[in-house]
Amino acid sequence: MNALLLQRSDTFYIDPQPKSEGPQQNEPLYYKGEIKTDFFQPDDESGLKSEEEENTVHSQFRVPRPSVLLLLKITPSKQNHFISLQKWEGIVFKVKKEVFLAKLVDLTQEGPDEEAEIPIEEVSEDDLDLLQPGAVFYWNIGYLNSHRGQRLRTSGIRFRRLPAWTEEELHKARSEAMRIRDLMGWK
Amino acid sequence: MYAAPDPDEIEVSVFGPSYGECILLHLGENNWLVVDSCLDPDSQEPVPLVYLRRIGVDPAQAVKQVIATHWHDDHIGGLGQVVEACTSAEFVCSDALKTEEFLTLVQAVHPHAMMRRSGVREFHTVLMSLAGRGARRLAPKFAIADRMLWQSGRCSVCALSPSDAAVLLARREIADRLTNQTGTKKGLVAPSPNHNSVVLWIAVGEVSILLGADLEETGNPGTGWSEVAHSRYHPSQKASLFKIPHHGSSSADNPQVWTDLLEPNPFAALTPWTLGGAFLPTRRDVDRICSRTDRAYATATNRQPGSRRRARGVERTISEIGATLRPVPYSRGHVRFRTQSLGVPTEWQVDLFEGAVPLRQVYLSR
Repeated sequence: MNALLLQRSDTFYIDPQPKSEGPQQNEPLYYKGEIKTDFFQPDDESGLKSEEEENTVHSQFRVPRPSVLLLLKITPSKQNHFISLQKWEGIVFKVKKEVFLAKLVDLTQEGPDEEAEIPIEEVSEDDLDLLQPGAVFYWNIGYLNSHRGQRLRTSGIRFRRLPAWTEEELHKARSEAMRIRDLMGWK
Repeated sequence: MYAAPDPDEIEVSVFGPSYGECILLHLGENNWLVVDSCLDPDSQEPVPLVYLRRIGVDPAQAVKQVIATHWHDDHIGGLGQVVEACTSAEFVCSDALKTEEFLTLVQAVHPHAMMRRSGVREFHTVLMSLAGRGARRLAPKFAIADRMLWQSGRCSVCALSPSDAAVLLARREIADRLTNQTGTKKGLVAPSPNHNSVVLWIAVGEVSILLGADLEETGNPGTGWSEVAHSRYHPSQKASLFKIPHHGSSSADNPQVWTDLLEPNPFAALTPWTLGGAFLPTRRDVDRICSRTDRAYATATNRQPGSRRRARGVERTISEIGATLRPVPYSRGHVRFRTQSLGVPTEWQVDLFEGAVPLRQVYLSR
């Protein structure tokens, strides 16, 4: 264990409690955390999170105010992490033989909508049954940094998969519709 | 350039940023109608609100009706905000939507609609806004062929569609969609062709205007433009101004409309439409329309905006997987017609703003 005096926006790693179904012995899992702004008011908020940190999957820990001196096991994270460069939300409006056409809304930066023609082979087999007009998907391009230090540029399309309608949901929608109809005076 | 019309001046402002349509009408004495809505490409605010505020008109007081001709995404962008802002306006939509099934469908589907923009979500916002008006509430008005929607002094607004047959067809389709909600939840795609658009006939004194919405020709004498053209309840006057239906497409063309409902060589405007590389009107559509009038205008051209610049890694990835992206063309695109409502009718004065062109030039800037 190492003693560490944490500064604002420092990131740190904590070895969680051992789990019965934990990782392999030679690849320990570490949670990553960061000092929250609740404890250190930053001079410049932009310094708190880089884009890379923003997109790193991690858990955050709240550190009690007096406990700036922590005993921590410092180790590099052993998890792969993904750095997103560009995200879109899309809606399919036409499916052709080898490509599908979609309207895209940029989730990375505001701007006018775009249209895309995307090869169907970019859709995973699991999602192919969802590929039809009206289907909503998320397209993410970025870098995957592996725990072995490799960096891969990747493109991933995931279709939103919602469970089928239940009778209860439709009943609830019907009840709400009738409530709104009455409120509007729509007879 | 952007001044409010005189109290006795009629204004018809047609906005169309290549995907979207909105028409604002001033019928005199600060009485305004909003017909459909689309978003301003820069501010993402509803175009009718941006325009009214720009010319110093308070939408809460001045707008008497907000009319949704149909619920296709390109006609309904920002409509929820418009209804919220136009607090004294009645909301009008197709009689086809006056069903429990449609309301239920909106309630069921809107939480699962696409995050930022969807017709279903807009409709839900409209309904919630109307429901939230409390004591000030005005029940929606439902448009069906030959129904008077609004009248004041010398002004009248009448629906020429949808027909009874079209309403029945649409209601059956809506009911089918509700009962066929099997499999995973997904967004709602509006039906096509469009039998249910609300075509409007607007008369102010001696001046008549025909707004064709997106009504298409179906070949069925009981629906679409055939039904409108064969209706026994034709208005007695002919219109001097025509909002050409469905972006000028041949699927919405009925020659009888031009001979029976419109003055010779009428003033006309259309809003182009583009999706998936397709563009309306086609060159053939332009030729057809221009053979009937030489006073037709388009709110935008077919010019494609430049591609957006992105990080090199993103550009490379898009190229490597063989995908293509193109920005949806946009401009504010505004054709404004004004004329006097009093005395002998005069010619419409036409002003073109922000990318609008005479229809003949719609393909000239490629």
